[in-house]
Amino acid sequence: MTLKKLRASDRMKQLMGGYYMMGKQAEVNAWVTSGAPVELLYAMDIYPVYPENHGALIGAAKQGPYFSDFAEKKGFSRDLCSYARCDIGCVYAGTSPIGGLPEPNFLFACNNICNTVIKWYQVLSRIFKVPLFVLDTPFVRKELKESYVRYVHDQLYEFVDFVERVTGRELSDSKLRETLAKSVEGVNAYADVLHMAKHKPSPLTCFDAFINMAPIVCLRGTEYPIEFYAEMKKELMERVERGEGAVENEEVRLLWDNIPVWYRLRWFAEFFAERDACLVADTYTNAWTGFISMDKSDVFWSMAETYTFIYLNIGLEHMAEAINRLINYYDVDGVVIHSNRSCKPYSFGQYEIQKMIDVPSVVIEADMVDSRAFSEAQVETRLEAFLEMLK
Amino acid sequence: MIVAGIDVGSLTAKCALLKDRELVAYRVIKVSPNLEETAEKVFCETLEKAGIRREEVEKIVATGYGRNKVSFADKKVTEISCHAKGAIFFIPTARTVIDIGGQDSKVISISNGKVAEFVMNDKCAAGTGRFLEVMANALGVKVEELGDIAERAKKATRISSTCTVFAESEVISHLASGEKVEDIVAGIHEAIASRIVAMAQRVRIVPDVVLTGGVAKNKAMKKALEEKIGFEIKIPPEPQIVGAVGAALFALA
Amino acid sequence: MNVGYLCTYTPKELIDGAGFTPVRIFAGDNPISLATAHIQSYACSQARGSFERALKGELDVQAVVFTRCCDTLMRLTDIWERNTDMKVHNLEFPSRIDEKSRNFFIRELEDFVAVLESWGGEITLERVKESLSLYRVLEEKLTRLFEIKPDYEVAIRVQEMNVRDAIKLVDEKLEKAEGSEGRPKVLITGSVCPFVDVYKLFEDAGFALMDDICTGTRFFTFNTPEREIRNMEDVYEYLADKYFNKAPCPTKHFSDDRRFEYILNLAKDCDGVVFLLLKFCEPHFYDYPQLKEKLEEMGKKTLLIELEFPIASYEQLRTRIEAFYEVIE
Repeated sequence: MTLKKLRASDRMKQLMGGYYMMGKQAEVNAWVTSGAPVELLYAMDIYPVYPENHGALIGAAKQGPYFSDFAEKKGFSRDLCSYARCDIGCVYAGTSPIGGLPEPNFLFACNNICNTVIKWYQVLSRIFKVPLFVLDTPFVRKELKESYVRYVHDQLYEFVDFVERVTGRELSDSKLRETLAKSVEGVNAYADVLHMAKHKPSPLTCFDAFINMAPIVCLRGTEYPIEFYAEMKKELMERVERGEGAVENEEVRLLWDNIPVWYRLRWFAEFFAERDACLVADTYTNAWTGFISMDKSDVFWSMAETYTFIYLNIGLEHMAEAINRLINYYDVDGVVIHSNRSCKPYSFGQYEIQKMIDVPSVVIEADMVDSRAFSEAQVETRLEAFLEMLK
Repeated sequence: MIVAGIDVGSLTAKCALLKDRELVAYRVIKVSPNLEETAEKVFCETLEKAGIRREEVEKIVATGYGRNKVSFADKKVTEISCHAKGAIFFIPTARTVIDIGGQDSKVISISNGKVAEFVMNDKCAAGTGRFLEVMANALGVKVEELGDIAERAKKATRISSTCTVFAESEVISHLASGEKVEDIVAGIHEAIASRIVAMAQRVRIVPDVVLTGGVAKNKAMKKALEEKIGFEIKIPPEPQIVGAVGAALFALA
Repeated sequence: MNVGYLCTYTPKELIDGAGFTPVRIFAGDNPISLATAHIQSYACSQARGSFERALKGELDVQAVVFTRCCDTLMRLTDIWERNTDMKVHNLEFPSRIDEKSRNFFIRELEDFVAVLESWGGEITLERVKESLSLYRVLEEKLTRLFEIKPDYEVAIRVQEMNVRDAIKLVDEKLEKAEGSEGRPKVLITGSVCPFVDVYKLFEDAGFALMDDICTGTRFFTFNTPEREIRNMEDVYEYLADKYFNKAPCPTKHFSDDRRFEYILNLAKDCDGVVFLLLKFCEPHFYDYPQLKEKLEEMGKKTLLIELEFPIASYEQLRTRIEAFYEVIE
């Protein structure tokens, strides 16, 4: 079967091609984690390199096992996160599907997505012999305490000092405010795109969302995502006006949980489309929407709040609440839960969440990048049985 | 109306022929590497046994691990739905179905005659028929004999490893240290039972609990599971063909 | 009331000072089954095994403190709370160890005291001062005992008992302790291993032991001397210094790569280094390749042993350890 393609995806490729080109020419660059407050970097004209996005790209290129092998040969266990393994593998290999990432001037890891990034970036810091700044965000199991926010807030100021010291550049207040405004605008534009899935039939699937999420992660705080997602929304609106769904005959509406299985995106997309099921939304891309709200008076405090209360840094009750909100908003019939060997903070607790959410769910075992952890027959049987149960 | 259900598993293939809602014939054969051929073979043999011509069969539903290889089937349904339907056919009061398959084990909870929830083993083979097979091999006995051997056990040797590969070497080291074969076999049954019951805890276990699949013929397994679950377990008269019968019932619908 | 904890960064002194008994929770000796219904098999067996014991009702613990260290324990907190009757608190020990995080840690300690009080504990300055000094005595005695000859049975047992009884037990052992001179020395580094027989395998093979294990010296190696305590502020300050300067764990970030230095320093006097790592323990496995490289540059032989609890085959371990002994000899 042929999947429906969005014109946006071609533009996205151009945009990201440009982003990677920029990196090769950038004077100063930093490797950053996906949940780090990148606005501070863009405001200081520092180019952010995203090893996680690079990991996803390696997965999508089905090169996971190949690059992971370089790290495994050095002694990195196969049980470690496959983003980290592949990325470290690329450093040792001296190349990657995009010819490797530019060497960092410094490293910036924020553990609001996992503690793995601290260890991963320590490894990088020893390899490249460059300084590493760790932004430590306490885990918000229940309540977001003021002491948490204060701690993160103080570290943000410390980070600015750190960058000024390492690069000799200075942060201008107006430039930061400008960047933050663009970031908020970009996030809103992206949210508008995802929210289109509320329509029945949905004009997009979560696979469209996955493929097109790189700009909001990597270019957040610049003009690009604002324009890109506005354009993408227009295209989706055209579909809605024609009454056209992303899946030909949308019978079942589903929600995806966890990071995608990058090397099988197409396989999953076809699998569901053939069975008249549409994965209209997911917890991964939706975690990027509405997460930023800027109080103009104290932008550092607002940043500290939003970057601490991020989807993966909150307790199970908060997570289940967020999922139930998505279930309700997108009116889905069931949840497909990816138990992702690579991502412990995203995956542990899923069995509990199954009991806390309002619709039936199914768990499939896989890994985001390492295809050696994927068994097609096993996944197929679980998903088919789940769809039989829902219909 | 005559219909057929074909269940192509990883170890055996089964076919059941139903006339209206009555079981007229069935066959169980070992699978060969060519699943399509296996399906054809089990189907033909069952037809022969029933004295029914192929043209008389109005609809065929395939299920099991190899369901997508049965090109002559009219429809494919997963073994989860089929085991549930088949279990109710044999035991109408069934509310929970446990199936220990070659590749996959599953626990299915049924409400109003339909699958309400199900869980399956994670990637590893512990708690599946494959685990039993590997262990039988390591001990140099046949899989079919395991149940009888376990009945002779005085105690159950503890098997700690949950991974099939590690459990195999553990079993070998138990042998080396002079543990009795029957005690080790009892330990293996216990290990699988606790694996399955742990998995079952993710759904609600409500009686009647029905055990399906070839392993259901193994009395020691039934006993080990009953001890862990705390309910009596019912076994259909032909546990191995429950999936095939379920598939045939889907053909009727 | 007994208050359980898993991580050695947990300020036991406050628990004891509140009139509760801090009890370390370890994985058990039985196969893990109930826990698999709640957490995936790629969680380490310390997490799964400890939780298994809670579900089986094997723990005489009425509350548990989860001190922030790794992703697995972070998630286990909620899972534990939802499936047991125990009270649960997560103490957010900072992942960064430096001046900025020190203030934050002190706020967390204050909050922890409030939690202990809400559990019915009574904290007075006098009692906390007593707890501080008792733990310091225990730690000193354990250090002395380990200097003569490491005794893992005692080290592990004291973590499951009241500090007062623990001191008595170590005193008894100190009287009889004898060194093992002239043996090749091996440094064992890794996360937790509460199974005493594992250390015995090393001794049986002919090694003298040194360790950097969370159930061994990392439990009692602190580097903050006694000082005058006048009020609760002093208590918090002292605890912050004590725990910030303890034998480092890979879940923490130090700007000066303190853990590598610490281990390289310990390894100087050893003939070989064994990484005793728990399968799926990310923090340790990230450090392993580069630390191994540094040790090899120093001319040290290394061996990696991957453990899963309960330990399935001691014989397999024995073969590896004996072979390592032959290599070093």
